[in-house]
Amino acid sequence: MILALDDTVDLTRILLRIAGFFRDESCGQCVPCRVGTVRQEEALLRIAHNGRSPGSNAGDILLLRDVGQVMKDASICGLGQAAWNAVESAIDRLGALEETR
Amino acid sequence: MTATHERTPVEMGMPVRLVTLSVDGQEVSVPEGSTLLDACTAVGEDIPTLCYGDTLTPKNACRVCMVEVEGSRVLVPSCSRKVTENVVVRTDTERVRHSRRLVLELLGSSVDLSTTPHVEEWMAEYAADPGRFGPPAPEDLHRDVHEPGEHHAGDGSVAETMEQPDKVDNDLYVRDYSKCILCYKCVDACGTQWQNTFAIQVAGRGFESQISTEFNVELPESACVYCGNCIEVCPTGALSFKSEYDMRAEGTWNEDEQTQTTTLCTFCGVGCNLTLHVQDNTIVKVSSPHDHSVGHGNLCIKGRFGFQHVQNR
Ligand code: SF4
Ligand code: SF4
Ligand code: SF4
Ligand code: FES
Repeated sequence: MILALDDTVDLTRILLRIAGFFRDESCGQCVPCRVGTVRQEEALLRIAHNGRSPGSNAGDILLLRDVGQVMKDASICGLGQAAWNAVESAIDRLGALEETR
Repeated sequence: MTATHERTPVEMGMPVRLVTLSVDGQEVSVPEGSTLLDACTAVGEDIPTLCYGDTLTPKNACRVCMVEVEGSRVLVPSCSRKVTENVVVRTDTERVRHSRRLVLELLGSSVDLSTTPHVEEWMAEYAADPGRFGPPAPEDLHRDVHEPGEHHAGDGSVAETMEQPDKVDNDLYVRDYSKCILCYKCVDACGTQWQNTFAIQVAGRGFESQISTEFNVELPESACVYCGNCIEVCPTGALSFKSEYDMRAEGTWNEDEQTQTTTLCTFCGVGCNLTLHVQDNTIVKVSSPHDHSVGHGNLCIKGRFGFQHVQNR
């Protein structure tokens, strides 16, 4: 899926919205998605509420990567397997979440 | 015409083909229809499982038993995937270990696993740190209320959990869903797979899921017939005999001091086997052997809970 946004949007908030969507849409059957989508949203909430000194999100980004990987590898269906795609590409391709806002 | 001598046929079963596969580089042959878990066990690999039950159809819900299968995009649940010829399975790759560790961390951070067998060893083996998601959220008094619409997101300062009040609403067994991993085993045991009573189901969805009676009524008002077949299969101790629950609360529950004696239920002629767990000359709980051909671990209320008269002194 491709989502076109201009460079004025707040990426963290967009990611939070997407994470909230996946958390709501998780059916709850399997552990990686049922709990992983909650932990993903919690980490993004911390990042959004953080003072954002550069580098201060490193722990939460590692956590997001760890949770994302298990959702991708071990969820039952495509919803859980894709629940971290947007966050992953925002971190890896756009360098989101690390910079100060 | 004289009747020919009648012979009783001997049941031989269908011949079973063997399937050969590779597990961690070792070649192994197992009967067709076996699972990858069976094959892993056959070569001595100890794969953790939680939602798998030896008397139930696999639900694939917990994802702690995942293994890597060559050619598969995602990891594969070993408890349910059937063996195929020449498949190459790995149980200890970086990816498998990561997945095990994370599943244990996600479960450990959201569920009270203090009475789940083996979890402590697994946490150590996979270096799982369930505390990394932050301090646990306080007990939720409204987990049984399922509101439509979006969830209420907090600020990420606490890690959400299953923590909720214990359901002590009858004299026979307690439901402590703070310990529930939502493995579906109780639901399956109560439903079509064994009991066909349908007293419990999963209510809600996502992280808000809960095992619940119809309209969340208390157990005595529900369809429950107290067969205890859900307790028999619960892997976490979320469901337990009231006797066990009370003894744990008092601090007197001690499995090392218990004996287990398997005997025949005397209530009717069906022939179910009971295993009496006895501590200090008192029956503290009753289970049933899963490999017994009559009940496969299932009983009715009389066999499961009708032991008080034995020990009225
Ligand atoms: S990955 Fe699919 S099956 Fe698993 S909880 Fe999410 S929506 Fe349900
Ligand atoms: S005791 Fe029997 S009837 Fe009641 S919920 Fe458990 S399995 Fe269902
Ligand atoms: S109560 Fe026990 S058997 Fe039922 S879903 Fe929870 S952990 Fe599984
Ligand atoms: S034991 Fe295989 S998915 Fe739970």
